[in-house]
Amino acid sequence: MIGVGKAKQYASVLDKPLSRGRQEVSLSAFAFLFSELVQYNQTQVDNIAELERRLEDAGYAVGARVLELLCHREKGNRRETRLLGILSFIHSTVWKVLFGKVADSLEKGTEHEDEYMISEKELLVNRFISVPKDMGAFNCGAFVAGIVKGVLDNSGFPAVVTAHFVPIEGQHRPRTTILIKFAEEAVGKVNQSWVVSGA
Amino acid sequence: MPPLTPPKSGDALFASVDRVNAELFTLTYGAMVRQLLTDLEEVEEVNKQLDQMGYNIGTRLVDEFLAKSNVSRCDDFKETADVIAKVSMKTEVTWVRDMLRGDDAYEMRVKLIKQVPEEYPYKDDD
Repeated sequence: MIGVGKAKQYASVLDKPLSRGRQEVSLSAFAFLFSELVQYNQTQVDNIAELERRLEDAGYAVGARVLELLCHREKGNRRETRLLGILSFIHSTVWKVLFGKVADSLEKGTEHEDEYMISEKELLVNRFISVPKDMGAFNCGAFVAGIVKGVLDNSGFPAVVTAHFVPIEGQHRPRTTILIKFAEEAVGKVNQSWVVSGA
Repeated sequence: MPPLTPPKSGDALFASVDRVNAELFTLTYGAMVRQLLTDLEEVEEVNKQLDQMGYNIGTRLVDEFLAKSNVSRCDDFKETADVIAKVSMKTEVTWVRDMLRGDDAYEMRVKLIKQVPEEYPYKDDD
């Protein structure tokens, strides 16, 4: 029997089993990588709306993959069919896996039936970002908004997701709120798409 | 040449910094590569960009590493490579630790592709 220190050699990286997700890298490595991402996108766009759009698209891809990964690993391949279910999945499980803690709060919008908000005192991605005055209300949380959008869209709950700064009394830095506005077909219904008929 | 003894080992340094999930890091990197591929389309161009970005990240990383670990000035290339392999790479990205072997330190080029050494010092996650 070969010693336990020996690692299996796989033909390609796709044959390796999924990791358990406990590996970590230093925060600064991620912060530098994210800053390069933002800097690169700044060179490709002319205005802030486009920059936010691009960050959101990048996050969308992450969200789609995170959903698949977590569905398999954490939820035993069961998918959420209810709105509140998927929201609480994002607010706790997704946040816990990606950022190490559950989101600070999940609220329902008071003005509209189809609006929900996830708030965070300090988003991880914004921690080392400073926005110059001439960029106005630009928020790198657009990346996180993209992640949430990716998860929602691929679960069958299409929505428009944006990130906003909300200044709070007594706090030097504003809170970040991810605003989720669900599309018509997502609200108030059990999600019935993808009904798979057994063979 | 006196042996280099770093004041803080790589593991201790890594334990003292804040950490994030490696999957977030990996997925973000993947998103970045995807963006580059969509924008630039030419593989050579993408590689050049990635190289430039990696360079930028590297200079900032080494600044932080030097600030945190108090190693003294390195006398020659071999020492520098040695320190990087043993201390700094452990600090910043754990998984690289297993791929960099002491012998490769003669080349400053850091290999981020898996090599095939006799045995890996870590257990498989099963």
